[in-house]
Amino acid sequence: MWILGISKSHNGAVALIHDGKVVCAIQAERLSRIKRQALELKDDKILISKCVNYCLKQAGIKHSDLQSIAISTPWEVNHLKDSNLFDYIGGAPKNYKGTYYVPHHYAHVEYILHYSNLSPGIVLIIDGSGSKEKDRKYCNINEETDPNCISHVDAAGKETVSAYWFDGKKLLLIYRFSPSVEIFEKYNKKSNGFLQSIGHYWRWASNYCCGLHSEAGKVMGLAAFGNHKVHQDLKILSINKAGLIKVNYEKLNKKFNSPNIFGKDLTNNTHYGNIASMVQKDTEDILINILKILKEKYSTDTLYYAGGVALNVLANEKIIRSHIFDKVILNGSVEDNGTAIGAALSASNLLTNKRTVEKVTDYYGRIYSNDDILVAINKFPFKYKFIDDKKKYDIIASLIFQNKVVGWFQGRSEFGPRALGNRSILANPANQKMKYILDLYIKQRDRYRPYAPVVLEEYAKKYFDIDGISPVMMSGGRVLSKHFPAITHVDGSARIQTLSKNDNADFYKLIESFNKLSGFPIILNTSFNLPGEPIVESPTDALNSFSNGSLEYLCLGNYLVSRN
Amino acid sequence: MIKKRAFNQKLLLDQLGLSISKDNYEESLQKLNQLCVFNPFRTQQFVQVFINAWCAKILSMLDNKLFDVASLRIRLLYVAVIYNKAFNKLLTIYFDKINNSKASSFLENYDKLIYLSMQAQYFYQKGIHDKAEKSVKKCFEELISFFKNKSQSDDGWLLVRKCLKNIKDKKKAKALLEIILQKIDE
Repeated sequence: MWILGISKSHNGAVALIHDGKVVCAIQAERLSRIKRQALELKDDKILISKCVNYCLKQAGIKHSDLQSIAISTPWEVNHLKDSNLFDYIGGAPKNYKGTYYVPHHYAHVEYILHYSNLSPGIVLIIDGSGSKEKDRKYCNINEETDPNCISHVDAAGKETVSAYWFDGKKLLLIYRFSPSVEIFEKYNKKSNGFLQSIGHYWRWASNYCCGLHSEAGKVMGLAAFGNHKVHQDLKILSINKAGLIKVNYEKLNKKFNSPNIFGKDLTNNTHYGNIASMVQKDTEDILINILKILKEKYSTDTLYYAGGVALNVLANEKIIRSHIFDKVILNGSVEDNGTAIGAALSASNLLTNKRTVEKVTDYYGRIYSNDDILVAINKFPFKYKFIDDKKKYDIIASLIFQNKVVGWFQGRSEFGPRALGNRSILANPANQKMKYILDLYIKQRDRYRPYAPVVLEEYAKKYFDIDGISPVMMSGGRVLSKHFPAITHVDGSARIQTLSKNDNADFYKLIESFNKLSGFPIILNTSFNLPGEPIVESPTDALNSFSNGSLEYLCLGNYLVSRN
Repeated sequence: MIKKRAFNQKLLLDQLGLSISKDNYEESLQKLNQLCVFNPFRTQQFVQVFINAWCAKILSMLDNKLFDVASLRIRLLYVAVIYNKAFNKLLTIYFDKINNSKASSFLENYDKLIYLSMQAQYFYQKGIHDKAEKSVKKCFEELISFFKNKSQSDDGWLLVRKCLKNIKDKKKAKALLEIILQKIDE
């Protein structure tokens, strides 16, 4: 059964599943080339059609083969007539079984459960905000609620934290924080538009420290430059014994009133570092508190964790090392893009009465052949040569070893926000000056942001203090050696990608070759994009980025491109 | 996002416009700050209004041959703006109007560095790449002593980043960066 999932969100995405397995998924931003591109299912049919066709092409099917469409949104649920909906996908399916509207947090849940062995556990979802309570009646995939559910739900609320008990088959809602969005609520009066939400606390911090509200990742990097103790008495984010969460925006806005409006790189300005550090510490503390409350009522050794806040690698690390749970299940598309997959899986489960699982991965995009690549290369005035697989890895490893910065475009594109070695910029992690070169020249990034290492899985513990594996860069740890300044953050940590041959054989071979030259199986891996742009998707995007940026070499499939 | 509580955004925007028309940079910055604090989700739009209004104001200063004050304001904007088309256009007009006079000769310290970096961008925008490179080299030479004071490093790196964008030859840009990194290390 072919099911299309749509994340109608500020981070829009489309996914295609077949018999419960993810076949293809694409974020709208990769095709529109606008970062955090929304999909609204309104007037713009071209973009959503592009996303749908992208998935259909990868699967080798037509719109008529689709049997169901599932939609998840954190905005208002507006039912579309099937005929209108079919306009977006290019025509009517032949054997259509229905359209499903899936509550937002529930779509997050189905996404993360898909990457497990379905062992019983707690599923925690935390993001900016999800479905409105008043919209639940418009959803035709509904949740069941445990009679003992801890419920802080306002009728005019939006879900911001949800937790479910998963018994191996069924899901029961066990916790929900869904605060009112109404302006007359006391806690909203002085919030300047932010919700009672951990995700919105990060939006506030992102806006205050970086001048944009969607840069939580930057704030996380900045946190290492500050001292959370400076503001420890403020207690902005709190949770009481009954599980009620409070974000005290009134205090926050009273205390802090010099936002970094222009988004300047203020690495050495402790004002912003201390705030970032406070937000990070508050988040870690509240997560542990929520989990303790839940674990007390629902004993289990497994946690499934998703929602935008789950992209916080530092907090994830705190959860893992707290050992409240033996197993913490994470995957790379925990933010709204993943709800396209989750929505489709929800419909699939309902229609087939069967839940399926797959291994953790984010390589869900299209493959471009060497022929596709050559057509693109010929449109640009660059030198290029064909290098066969036997030589490719040694040649690229040698360039990286010589401190060249290389664009690496191979195989299926990644779905989530992380470049995992198929749309990556690669560099030597041992070079003292590499971080400066990347920050100031190649990536033009703020200096407080760290670069991630990718390490062969079997060597990970030799070089990093890491608990388990991290195939989609969702956890981190201390760097144990001082020989890798380019990937070691100011606090000695790194956000790590561990790589096995099964994850990505091409990338694995490259790092093996690099290991032979350098003596260490680690490469600096950062996303292949220019500032303010989404990660490249197609060969043409990669060549445009190469043309407009400062990369020295670009390896596209079996072609090595260099400047004239 | 929840609906905004009432605050007089229009009044603040008017006040912002008024302070710019009066050439009061500090006050305009204060108004911008207030707008962004009260309505943070629109920070980018307010910043755009601020930059566009200042660009218009500086243009009128240039038309009225108020070069000194225009120079002062354009330098302030240059270090605030990351990328802005209106500002880039203004920068070209500014240098064309001041005609590369001795505008930089009386400048010192950070002001001089900003001027050199701006000049590099001007030449780059005009396609005069050798001159852009020269301005960058001059700026980098002066930056080395500027970096001795660590508290100034955020400002220093900003100019390095801006300068590097104005070198056409990528290899030369990387080489220049490596030189300045080495000299700062020493």
